[in-house]
Amino acid sequence: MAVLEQSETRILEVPSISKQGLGWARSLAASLLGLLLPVALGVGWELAVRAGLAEGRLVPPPSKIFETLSDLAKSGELETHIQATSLRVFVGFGAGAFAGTLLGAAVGYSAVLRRIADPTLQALRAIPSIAWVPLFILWFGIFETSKIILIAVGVFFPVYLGVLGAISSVDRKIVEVGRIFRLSPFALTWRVLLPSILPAYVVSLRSGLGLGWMFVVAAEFMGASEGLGYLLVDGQQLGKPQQIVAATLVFAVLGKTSDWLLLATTAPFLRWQDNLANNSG
Amino acid sequence: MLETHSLGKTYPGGFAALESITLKIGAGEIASIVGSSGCGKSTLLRLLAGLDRPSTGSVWLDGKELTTPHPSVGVIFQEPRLMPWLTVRQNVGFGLSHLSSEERGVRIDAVLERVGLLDFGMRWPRELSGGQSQRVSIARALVMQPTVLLLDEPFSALDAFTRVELQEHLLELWEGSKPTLVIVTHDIEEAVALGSRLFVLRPRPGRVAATFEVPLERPRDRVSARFGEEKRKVLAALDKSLLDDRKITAG
Repeated sequence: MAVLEQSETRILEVPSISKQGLGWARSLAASLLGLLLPVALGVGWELAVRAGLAEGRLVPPPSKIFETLSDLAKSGELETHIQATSLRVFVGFGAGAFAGTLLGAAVGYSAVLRRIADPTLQALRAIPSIAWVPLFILWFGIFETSKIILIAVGVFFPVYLGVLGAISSVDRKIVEVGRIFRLSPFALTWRVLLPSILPAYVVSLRSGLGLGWMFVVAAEFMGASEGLGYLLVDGQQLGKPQQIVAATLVFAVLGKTSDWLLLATTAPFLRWQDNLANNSG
Repeated sequence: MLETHSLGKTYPGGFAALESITLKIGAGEIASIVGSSGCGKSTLLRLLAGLDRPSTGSVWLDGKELTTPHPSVGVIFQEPRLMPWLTVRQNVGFGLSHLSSEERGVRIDAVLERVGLLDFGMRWPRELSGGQSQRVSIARALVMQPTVLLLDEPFSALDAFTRVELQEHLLELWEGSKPTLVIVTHDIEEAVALGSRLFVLRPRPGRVAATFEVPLERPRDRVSARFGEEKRKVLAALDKSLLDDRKITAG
């Protein structure tokens, strides 16, 4: 009987492996397909410039962009700029997400607080965050503080809104189970509310992080002596479009990487979700 | 002994869901509460569970008034209400956080074995069928070793086969520690198959219309003539209560 079972499992395993392998190849092919257009455009432009069909001064060809990047990397400048920008985003995101989580949870939990604080916060949200820049410069000077606060403000609102919305949509029936088991308010928050808002929370953190990268550019436009935003301004003032494009490329890579890191750190806590991603495995 | 003294519940809008309900349910009894939808069955159960406060009257458990959820009163809802972020084992152990993880593990193993889900401990709730989920929710209540178990239409969302299977399973589990069971249902067969005593509620506002002893010995044969006889009696009482209600509304 045992032998029979084993042989059966073996037979069953074979097609599943080949299917998995096929699926992997297919997804690779799909992402390669997505690369086709940008690579074709890049190569086309490179050839056009080389052949003298286009000038390529304002729109530099890929080779020039990569040359600029490698020059910046060699001189160590690139590292300095990446470090400066990433640190700003990191600290600003941390502060904004922390405040957004705390206030969102408090306002979501207490009806009284909601009536007191939410209208004000919603009104503040209606102000385009960049409009704070002049005031922040007057208040906090032109150095790091004002930059980080601007980023934190940008991150704060999506996180606040996300937590607030998630808490008010927690399933009452699940909360009732917590009451049956006579959980204290703290235990109810920690064991029921927090895990049930986690998926929505991660989404709001991701959009907050995206805004963090957006606002770091605005902050560095305010006047910075280092950072990728500085590279952009510098490239514009000295007429170096290849430097501008190089900096935007670095932004894209950093933004994508940080988003991926956020997803990867939270993924283990969200394995329980009944969604497409978890069921296709 | 679970008792209610002239229990009533009127909702803030002025809607009277229950009026002067007085019940006495002895230890180890299985009480079925039947009634049409909207007769306040679920409201009654929520009052017994201490989830809602009555407008009038009181609930007593073994001589003590019950005003909030009580540690020895377990509740099983119509939906399993499992925490989707916890595995089956963690769900079952949800109320055992005061124990050491070793003790918890032993109790969880024992109860999972009793409900026949020992191999499903590491699954997520989303991977379970409706019947399995409800078994987990029964296990979650049983693991607390309750003296009273309140069930709010626990099997109504399941298909007919699973329903009968789980009803029988519930009786087997009851045989073990003989807790008091209070089962709210709109399914007359379920009420007769499970209950040793049966309360028929009439609507608007919910009141007790009739009380029956179910004299059938266990295990009960659902297709026997005597079973059918009991069912008919309950049906007649239900019909009468509805008829009375209609007369009042018409008159």
